[in-house]
Amino acid sequence: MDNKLNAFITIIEKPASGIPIAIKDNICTKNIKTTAASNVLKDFIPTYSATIIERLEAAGYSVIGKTNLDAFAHGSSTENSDFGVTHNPHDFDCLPGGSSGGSAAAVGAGLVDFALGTETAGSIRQPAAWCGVVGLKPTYGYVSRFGVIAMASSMDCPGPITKTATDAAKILEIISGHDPLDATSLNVPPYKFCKLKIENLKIGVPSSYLKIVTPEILEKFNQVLEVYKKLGHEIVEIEMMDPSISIAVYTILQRAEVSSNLSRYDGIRYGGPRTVFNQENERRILTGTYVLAAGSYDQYYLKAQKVRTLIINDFDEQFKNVDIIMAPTTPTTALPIGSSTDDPMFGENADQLVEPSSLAGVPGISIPCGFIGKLPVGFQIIGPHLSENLIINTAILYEDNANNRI
Amino acid sequence: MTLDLTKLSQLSDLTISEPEKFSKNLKEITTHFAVLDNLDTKNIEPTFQVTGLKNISREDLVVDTPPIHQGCFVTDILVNRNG
Repeated sequence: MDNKLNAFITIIEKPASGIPIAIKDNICTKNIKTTAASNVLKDFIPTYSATIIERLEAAGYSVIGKTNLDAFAHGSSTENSDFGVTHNPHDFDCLPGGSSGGSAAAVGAGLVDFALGTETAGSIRQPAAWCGVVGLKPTYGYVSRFGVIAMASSMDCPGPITKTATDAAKILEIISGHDPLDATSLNVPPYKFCKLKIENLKIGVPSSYLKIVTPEILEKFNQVLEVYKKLGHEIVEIEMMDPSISIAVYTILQRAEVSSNLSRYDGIRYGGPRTVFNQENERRILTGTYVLAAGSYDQYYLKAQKVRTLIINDFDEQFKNVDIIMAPTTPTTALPIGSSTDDPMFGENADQLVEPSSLAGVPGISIPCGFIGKLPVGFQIIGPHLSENLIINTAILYEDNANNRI
Repeated sequence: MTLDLTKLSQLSDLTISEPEKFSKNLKEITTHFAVLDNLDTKNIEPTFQVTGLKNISREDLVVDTPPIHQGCFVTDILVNRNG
């Protein structure tokens, strides 16, 4: 099956006994090749495991393979991988999304029940939606980044990709919690799932988000809202900042942090020379260098950091009036293979409904809510900082009551 | 800021593979940034850290670290030399 999908970069021939889990190949695994899907690191074998891998192994999970991604997680298609594109398990001619496309495709195809992805802005939720699986992006700092190959450190966040919200909760229980090795790690105890009796929920639906989705996706999303309405929850339309503002802020900050984080690949300490970066990596490093350069720092970088404050304030204000925010995860279903080539803003457009919450560092979960043709659709539930238990329980409520489960 | 590709190339330690294409892409990318010009950020503080953590430090103690010589410390170097 994986020959057709190309979901894995490395498959462990004799995995240790335990519950099988697939790991995105930008998460360091001791003695197992970790490439970040880039030729720069094609032979890199880490000498230690990421904290989240150590925690999973201690809890009885066993790494069965390392999954494909856009090289250094730069992209939302898995088409920017230096080791070939991953195919969508529901339609081999379509993209799986990304950057955690390999993990989402592996779970979507039923090759594995649990996978880890990482999200900077959409890289867990968007491929999960396109592959018809559950993707959870936790609160920033809730899950340790130690041992995760850095992309944009102020947003990077590892999280589970699974078949159900309950499974995602199980993985989050293991990987979350303070890690002294990650200075941005929150000093809070690990997540503990507890079943909530959810009543009279006030669900905010941002009208600006609905304007940019296809009519078919909107129809599916309205069916989701009907499920919650029938259960007695209140749906309120809310006005949030235009997602195109987040695209601009994210593009500036992500490129800037990339140019800094990828400066470590000098061909001396790790892997190959800088000449083997692929074109998307090169474009992002150069764009980041440009927005940070002396003549444009104030105009672009500092301005973006200030607007990021406005985006955070926007979420804080909304959560004074509503319990959670709900929206479709992606503007379209999975696009055909080849769509991202030569479009420098492909990822930003595919991820525009998830970028604002990533910039604000709040948690979000994408849940499958049916199909359009062969292709799955997902919707997302966003909550305030550390409200994982609320959003997971709200997701389970849908899974238990909708009749179009995958 | 005017685009000086030579300077950009030096700063980022990269040889720009297709300079004309990159200039075109960068222009396209920066047009998306114009949307920020309309937002008033006069008295707004920039956000560098979303969860409010400040001055994270560890205690300056001598700790036992696990041994690194488990046969794996040199693998990367060896692989790279051969590759």
